[in-house]
Amino acid sequence: MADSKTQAKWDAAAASFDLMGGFGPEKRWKARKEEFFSSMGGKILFLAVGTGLDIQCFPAGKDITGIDISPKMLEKAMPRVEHYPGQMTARLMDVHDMDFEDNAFDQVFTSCTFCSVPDPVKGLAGLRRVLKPGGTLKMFEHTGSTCFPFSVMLDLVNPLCRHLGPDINRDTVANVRAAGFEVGKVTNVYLDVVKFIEAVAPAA
Amino acid sequence: MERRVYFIFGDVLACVVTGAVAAWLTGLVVPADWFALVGMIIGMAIGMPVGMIGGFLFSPFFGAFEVMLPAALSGMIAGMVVGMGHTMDSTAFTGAVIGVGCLVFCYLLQARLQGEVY
Repeated sequence: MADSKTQAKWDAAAASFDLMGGFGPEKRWKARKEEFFSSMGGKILFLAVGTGLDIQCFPAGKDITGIDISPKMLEKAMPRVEHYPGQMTARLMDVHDMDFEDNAFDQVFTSCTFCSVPDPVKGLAGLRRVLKPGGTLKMFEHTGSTCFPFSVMLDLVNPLCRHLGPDINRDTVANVRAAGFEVGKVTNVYLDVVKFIEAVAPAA
Repeated sequence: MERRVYFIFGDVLACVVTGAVAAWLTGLVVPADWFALVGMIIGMAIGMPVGMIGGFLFSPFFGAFEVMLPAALSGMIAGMVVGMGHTMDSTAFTGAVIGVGCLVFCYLLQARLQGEVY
């Protein structure tokens, strides 16, 4: 059962999502995202699909299952999903309550997702369940900052941001550890706010 | 460090405009002869939302956090500095210069922080 409050928030954002993120942010991050997604291999879970903006950065010929909590986002994403030159499906699903079997995927990729998952540790624990032991979690996420003055600014603005969309001051690396992953590599993309995180699901 | 001209232009534009607007608004609201600390706090309260709105407006064209964070910082600092004391005919220019300064700070911080952490 999907979290209806979160679903409604992202349904409402779907209409303007490409307008806000489809040009400037995508153009700025495209090369980094292509580099990030180039390591895709095996059976892959991708969340959250959103309107499918990231699909253009996926390497061709992969086996990808995408999920998203918002039907309106998925509706916009479907043309991009259908045009992906590989095997890709997209399903309506809440990361807190996934119906995949245990150990179903070799890799999980996320892209600006765990700023918005209401219970990030529970969501990440769900990803660990569906990842094979030794499988990799690769995240492109924005987090809080440890650098003054951005640390204070992000904390101050977060109550407003979380009402409209994502949280902007989460410690996602700590959340990944708290969910039982072994964090392997963290790379700063912009300041210490936007980053790549790589982690491994340990053997049970 | 950003090297693409289009994005450097966008970063500068966002910070200059946001800093100038925040400073100009602060100059309108805060009289020049107010106690500096009070003026600074009111300037910050004006500059922060202006910075956020500026970052939000420029973001679709030039990037997300790379625009929003420097613009928000520019608005906040410009409001604080002008709130501490100003002459009305120079507020917007002062804010624009502060915007450039904030962007340079962000570029230097980015050069220090970017890359593999561990």
